[in-house]
Amino acid sequence: MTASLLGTFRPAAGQEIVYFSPENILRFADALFQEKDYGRAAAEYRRYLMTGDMPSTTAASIYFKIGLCYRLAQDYPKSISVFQTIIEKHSQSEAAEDSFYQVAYNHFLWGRYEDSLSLVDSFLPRIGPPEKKLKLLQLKGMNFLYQKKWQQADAYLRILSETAVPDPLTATMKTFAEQGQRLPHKSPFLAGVLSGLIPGMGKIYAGRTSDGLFSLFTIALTGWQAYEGFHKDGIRSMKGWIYGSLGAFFYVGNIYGSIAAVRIFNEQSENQLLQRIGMTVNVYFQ
Amino acid sequence: MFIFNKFFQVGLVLCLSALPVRSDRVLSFADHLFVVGQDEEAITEYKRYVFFHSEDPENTVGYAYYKMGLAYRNQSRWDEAIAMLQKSVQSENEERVRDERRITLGVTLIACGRFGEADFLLLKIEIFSPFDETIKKASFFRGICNLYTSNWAEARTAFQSYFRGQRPETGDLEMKVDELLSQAPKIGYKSPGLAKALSTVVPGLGQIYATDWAGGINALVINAAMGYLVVHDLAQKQILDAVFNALFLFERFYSGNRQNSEEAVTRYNQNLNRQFVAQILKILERVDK
Repeated sequence: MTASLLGTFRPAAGQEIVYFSPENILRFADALFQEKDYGRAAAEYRRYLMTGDMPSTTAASIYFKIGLCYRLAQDYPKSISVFQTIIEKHSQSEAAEDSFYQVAYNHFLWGRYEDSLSLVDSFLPRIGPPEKKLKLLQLKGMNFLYQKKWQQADAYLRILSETAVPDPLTATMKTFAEQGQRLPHKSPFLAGVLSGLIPGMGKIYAGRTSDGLFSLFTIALTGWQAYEGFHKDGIRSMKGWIYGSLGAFFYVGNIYGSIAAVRIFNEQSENQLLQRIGMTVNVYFQ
Repeated sequence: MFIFNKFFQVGLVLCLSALPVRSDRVLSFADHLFVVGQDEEAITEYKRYVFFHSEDPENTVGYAYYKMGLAYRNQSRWDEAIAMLQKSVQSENEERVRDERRITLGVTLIACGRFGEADFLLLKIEIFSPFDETIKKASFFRGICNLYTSNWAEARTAFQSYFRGQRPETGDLEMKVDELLSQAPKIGYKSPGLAKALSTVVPGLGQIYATDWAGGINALVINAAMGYLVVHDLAQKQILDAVFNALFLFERFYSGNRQNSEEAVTRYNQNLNRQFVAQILKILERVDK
C-alpha cells in the first residue's frame, strides 16, 4: 500500500528536508492520493491551501482535488460542498466548468437521480466546450438507465446520438436501454391471483417450481387434515381448528410469497443488467 | 480477553523499550501523537516521514512502518496493521530488531484470531533466531497462542522452552503451569457422542448430561407431548394422522433435541477450556511481576 510512496521523492545528498514547505506538502498529498488514501490526501491538500496566498486558478485546482478525494472516499455530501465552493468562489477557473459535472455526478453516485437530472439541466447552458457538454448529456442518460426508465432512456439517447457528435459511449448506452426494454417482466398481480386459485402456481410462474410444489403439498395436507377434523367432530374439532389455522396461514403466506418471488425475479434481471451497465460504462464517467 | 490484553501490553512495552530515541522533527511529532493516543494523526506523520525518507540509510523507514502497524493495531484495523508490520520486518537490516518485530507481528496475529499463522511465525523465530531473549519471548507467545486453540501439548512444550533458564524464583510457577497443562486432557470434558446417544434414548437427557437443565426439561416435555399425539392417533387407529403427526411434528422436535444435545456439550467443553486458560494465564501474569 505505502510501497507506492517509496521512491517518489529523492532529496539531494545532505539536503535538509523542509517537510511543511508548500511544494513538499503538495508532493505528499499527491502521493497519498495515488495511494488511494483519500481522507489523508484531502487533509494535506487543505493544509497546502493554508500555506499562503495563491492564484485563484491554483486554489481552484486544489479544491478540485479535494472534491475528488471526498468523492472517491464516497463522502458525497462533502464532495458536493467542495465542488459548489469552486463554482461559487472560482467561477472563472477551468475547474469551475468541470465542477458542474462533478456536482451532478456526485448526486448520481449518491443515488439521487432526480437531483442529478435537474442539476444537469440547470448546468447545461453554463457549459461551453462541446465535449464537456456531451459528458453532461451522457450523464443524464445514465440517470435514466439507473432509474430503470428504459423507454425514456432509449428515446433520449436516440435523440442524443442523432443531434450530438457520434460517440461510442452513447451508442453503448442506447444498446443497454434497448436491452432494458426487452427484459422479461412478470406480473406480481398475476402471480398473486394464480396462487390464490391453485396454491404454489404463482411461485411456479416466478420460476421457482420446487418451491411452488412444496407450497401446494403443504397447503393440501394441512387443508385435508382440517377437513378430516371438522368432518369427524364438527365445528368444535380442535384438530380442525389447529390445522385449519395452520393451512390458512400457509395459504396467505403462499400468496404473499408468490408476489415477492415475482418482484425478486424482476429486480434480479434488472439488477443484472445494471451491473453490466456499471462494468461497461462507468469507466467513462470519472 | 482481559488477561490476554495484559500480555499484549507487556509485549508492546518489551518491544518499545528496545527502540532508539528519534531525532527527526516529523518522526518525534509522530511518536508524540502515538503516545497520546492520536493514532490517525500519528499515521499521517509516519507516512510523511516514509515519503521523504524512502532511501534513508539508517533504516528509520522500517521504524515508521512499525509504528504505523502499532497505530493501526490500536484501532483494531488488523489487515492494515499486519501489512505495515510485515513491511517493517522487510525493511529492517538488523536481525535482532527484525525478530522483535516478527514477535509483535505474531502477537497481532493472535489478537485478531489468526492463530495458525501466529503459531507458524513464532515457531520459525524459536527455531531460527540466534538471540536467546527473542526465542524466549517467541516461546511465551506461542504458548499463549496454543492455549487459545486448546492445543495443550504444544502449549506445554512452548512454556517449557520459555521457562528453561529463567530466574530460579520462577521455578514454582513453571511447575504449576506444567502440572496444569499435563492435566489438561483430563479436565472433565463431556462426550458429544454420548450426549447424542442419551438424547436418542430419552429426549433431553443429553442436555441434562451437559448440565443444560432448562434445555433438557424443555426437550423432554415437548417430545413427550408430540409422542403422546402420535401414540394417541395410533391407539385410535388413525394411521394416516399418526404418520402425518410423526413426520411433521415429532420428527422435527426429536431430531432437533438430538442435535441440541451435541451443541450443549460443545458449549460446555468450550466453557471448560475458557476457565482452564484463564487459570493458566493468571499464573503466567505473575511471571512478569
